Parts: sequence; structure tokens; C-alpha cells
Amino acid sequence: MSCEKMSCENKPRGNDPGVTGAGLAGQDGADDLPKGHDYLFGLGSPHGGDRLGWLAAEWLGDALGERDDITVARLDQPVDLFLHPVTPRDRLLLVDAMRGQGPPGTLKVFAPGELPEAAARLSSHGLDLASTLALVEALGLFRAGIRIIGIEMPDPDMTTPKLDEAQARRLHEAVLGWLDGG
Amino acid sequence: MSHDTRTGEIHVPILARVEGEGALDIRIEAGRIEALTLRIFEPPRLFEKLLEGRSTQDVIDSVARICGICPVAYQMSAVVAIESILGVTPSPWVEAMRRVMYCGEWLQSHSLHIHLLAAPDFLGYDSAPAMARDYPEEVRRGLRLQGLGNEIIRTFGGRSVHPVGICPGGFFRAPDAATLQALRQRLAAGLEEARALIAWTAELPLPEDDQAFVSVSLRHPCDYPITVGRIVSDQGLDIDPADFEQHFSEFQVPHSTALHAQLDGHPYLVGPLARLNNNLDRLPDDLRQLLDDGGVHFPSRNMFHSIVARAVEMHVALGEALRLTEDYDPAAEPHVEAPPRAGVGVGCTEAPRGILWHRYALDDEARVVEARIVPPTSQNQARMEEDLAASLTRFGLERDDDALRLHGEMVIRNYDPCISCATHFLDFNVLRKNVLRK
Repeated sequence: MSCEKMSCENKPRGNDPGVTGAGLAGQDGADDLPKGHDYLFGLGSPHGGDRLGWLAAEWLGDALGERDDITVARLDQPVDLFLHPVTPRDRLLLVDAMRGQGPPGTLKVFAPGELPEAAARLSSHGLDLASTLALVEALGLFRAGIRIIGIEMPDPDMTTPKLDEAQARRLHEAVLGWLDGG
Repeated sequence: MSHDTRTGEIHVPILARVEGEGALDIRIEAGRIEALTLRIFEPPRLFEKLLEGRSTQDVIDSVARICGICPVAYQMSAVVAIESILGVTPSPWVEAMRRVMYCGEWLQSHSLHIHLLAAPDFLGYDSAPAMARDYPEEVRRGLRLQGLGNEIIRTFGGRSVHPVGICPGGFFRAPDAATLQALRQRLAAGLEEARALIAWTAELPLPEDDQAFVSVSLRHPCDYPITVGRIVSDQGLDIDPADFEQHFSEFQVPHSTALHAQLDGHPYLVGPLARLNNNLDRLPDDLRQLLDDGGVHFPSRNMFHSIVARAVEMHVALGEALRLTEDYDPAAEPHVEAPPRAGVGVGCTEAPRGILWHRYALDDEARVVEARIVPPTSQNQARMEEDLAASLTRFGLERDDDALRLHGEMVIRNYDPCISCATHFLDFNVLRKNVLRK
């Protein structure tokens, strides 16, 4: 992938709420299928709090650059994941900004059925996350597992959202756990 | 109940699979439709007023927010109007790349509509996921083409949703050659998929429902119209976009927060079917041959052939994007300077849903004094009501409420209305013999 490098702040900011929600490893399962490829997509846009998903993808793309078992990319819209040659054997991890789930920087893991309704249906442009995941299910893709990591957005008046070191570390650990968790 | 004496009202309170919120109310009296209203109740968004006092760049970035599906169309109509006021002539490179970017929007918007909104109607599914279980390859093809459209927009606009790359005089930056080369490989693959898509849509079990209507679109001296052209109809209209207000009138109706529009006092059609009806001779020869071989003949009076027209336009978009980027060289100067100047100007381009007309008056600092935006869905509202009355009557008013509601929704979805643009959609209500059913 070709992501711009992001800068992590050296000092952890705020509290460190840890990772909560659905487990990342040992998920859903498609035991009848050989192992496929892993996809990690950061959802968002270049500006505002919504930028967190892209920042995460950029940082994780660099951190996981040596691994050839995962594709990391930024997406403007969830539906763009279909541009990739995804199969039923693959696993999907989406990273997106979220609001209302804890202090800024909180990481929370969701299974598709656990997404808050308001978040899953939030889109001004045709195909929201819930609709995309419904199509993924109907098409039988990513049967090896789907998880969504939400990163709580900073206050709206914070003009340049960043991942601080503690958040980046926790995100990296969570993703490594997902990658190697089977 | 006798078919010719049926009396009642039908109300569709929420229309599914359209962009926005609205409703359909029908009153049937003695077996005839006495009243039919397509109610658009989404609150007015007041964009024209919000633009007053803003700079030209603010206008271009703001109007993209009117629609998440067709932001490029809004930006293009705006920038054409603004450049006409500022006396700016974009370079041939800019004109070509704007057409490529616009092709991206046609591709993503049409593919979204064909596969996720319209095709389930014709194949008897209540949703796209339900259809996807039985037509996985077709749906994946559609999603790839939609994604490819998004990728084109992103290449020129920085992002596919509400892009930010356009400025008066051109683009902020030119994509590099390597990016375009990678994109072109995908466009070539997409072109083959679009050929297959045309054949697939032509074989769909589309209802036969020929009607009389006036097709209005842009027309270009040699190209299939997208970013520039005269406004024409299949009834002889041929005008400069600056003369739009002399022939087209907008007016308010009590049941809609979006304005209705008429051409010389009558409803008219804009969008893919109107464009194709008026511009068959602007298609590449191989595409016309493909259409002739496909069994659906244009010009068509059957509104349900719009889905085939959309597939054809997806092929046009891919072909054009490939043609215009064949010898791509990034422009050293992707925009020319656009010094402020007062004046009045119009811009009219072909949004995926039809002609989109903008008029701006700017002051000496090139700030907006007055803005007027006429979106395609507003223009099609009167035509939709006319179509609903004819289609439902032909379908059979004696049918039960659910059947009428479903058919009514299908007729409306066929126009791919973007109610958010026009002010979102559908609530269906029928009343028979003074009994209100929902």
C-alpha cells in the first residue's frame, strides 16, 4: 500500500481505556475452508474526526509492512472493499471512527451484528456500512470472520485528530492478536 | 367490487430504495385515479440562500454537499457558471480530465442504481442482498464497477465522497502518470464488464409500458453529452443553457418541499433515457451495434428501459475515460488563474439523473449575490406523477393495495430520484370507500 506516514505523539494523552467489545481472535469461523487472506480497511476521509480510520490504516500499514498475509488500505466508502479480490476464505477487519462509546481514544471491537444501529446506518452516499455488510453476508464473503474496531473520536473542537502512542500500541496489539489468533 | 366503480385512496408512507424521503397518495374514484400526489416532505435545505456571500471556491466545495451520490455534477455545473463569469477558459487538459472525473460519477451512480435499487424490482426481490444470493456474480460485477467509478473520482478529487479537487480554472493538482496508468488497466477490464452488463439488463423481464413524454437533455456537436452542450428536446427545443429560464418554469405545489418544473407548460423527462433518446448518434459505432443486437430499441417510450440506458452510459463512461487518458500527461499547470469579477453566469451539465442547471450572480469580489440551482429530480417530479397515473391505470387499479404500492414504488425508483438533492422518499397511501389503509 502507499500510505503517508503519520506521526504519533510521544506522550500518551488522556486515559488508557483499553480495548473492549467482541473478541478479535477465534471468531466466527469457516472451518471447512482453507485459510485465505486478511484485509484491514480504514474507513474515513482526510479531514476531521472521521480521519481516525485512515490514520489507523496508515499507521498499521507501516507497522505491518513486512507481512504478506494482510492487505491494508484506506477506503472512502465501505462498498469500495469490493474492488479487492475478496473471497469467502478471507477475513475482514474494518477500522472506523466512532462516537459515544467512551472517552476519546477508546477502542471497541464489534461483530457485525453488534454495531450500533445509528453508526451502521450513517451515510450520506448510498451504501452505508450495514448495507455493505448485508451484501458481504449475502455474497458469502469473509466467512472466516469480520470484525469492526471503533476508535472514539476526540472532541469536535480538536482540529487535528491523532493516534497517540498508547492508542497506536493498543491498536497494533489488537490487530496482531487478530492476525495471529487463528 | 366492480373494477370500473372502485373508489378509495392508497397511501405509500415510505418509499424504499430511493435516496431521500417522500410518499405517494392516490385517490381512486369510480375506477379512475382522481388525484395522485408524489409528496416530498423532506425539509427544504436552503442551499441557494446558504451560498450567498460565499467565495467561488466555497461554492464549489459547498454544492458538493448537496448530494453524496452526485457531488461531481454539482461541482461541475457550478464551476462552469463561475468560469463564465470570471472570463476563464480552462485548458483542453482540464476539460478532458473534468469529463473523465464526471464519467466516474456516472459509473458509480448508475451501477448503484442498477444493481442495488432497480434490478431487485424486475427480478422479484425485496432487497439487493436477497437478489445477491441468487445473482452473486452480477452483483459483484456491479459493485466492482461502482468501486471503479469511486476510484476515478478519488483520483481527481482526493476522495470519492464530496471530492475537493476542483477549483475555478481547473484542478488543484494533476494526478501522476503512474496512478493513471494503474487506473487505466482497471478501466479496460471494466469496459468488458460493462458490455456484459448491457446484455444482462436488456434480458431483464422489464414491463412493457410505452408512454408519450418529452425527452430533454444536453447535446454536443460530436460527443455524448456530459459536461457541455445545448439543451435540446425530441420535440424541437434547441437552446443555449443561458436561455433556460425562458422555456422552463419552476413552481411550488402544496404537497412537495421540492419545486416542480415544466417545459413550456408541460412535464418533461431528464436523465439517462432522455439523454440516450436524444443522442443515439453520439454513441460509438460498436456500442450502437451492441444495442441493436440486444433487443431493446432506442429511442424508447418505455420508461423501464432506463435501466438499459444506464448500462449503456456506463459503457460510454468507461470508453470515454479510456479514450481521454490514452496519452495521459500530467499538466504542469492544472489550473489557470481566475481573478475575481462581477457578473451573472449559468452552467448546465448532465448529472447521472439528468440536466443540472446552475445560475450565479457574483459581486466585484466574486462573492455570491444570488444563486439558483435546478436539480434533475425536481425537473422529473411532474413527469413521475404523470407516469404513475398512466402506469398504475395500465397495471390495473382493481389490484390490491400491496400490488399497487409495489408497482408505484417501482415506477418511482425507475427515475432514480434523489430527494435529498431536490430537497429524500416514499410513504404510500390508498383510500377506498372512505377507508384509510396503510
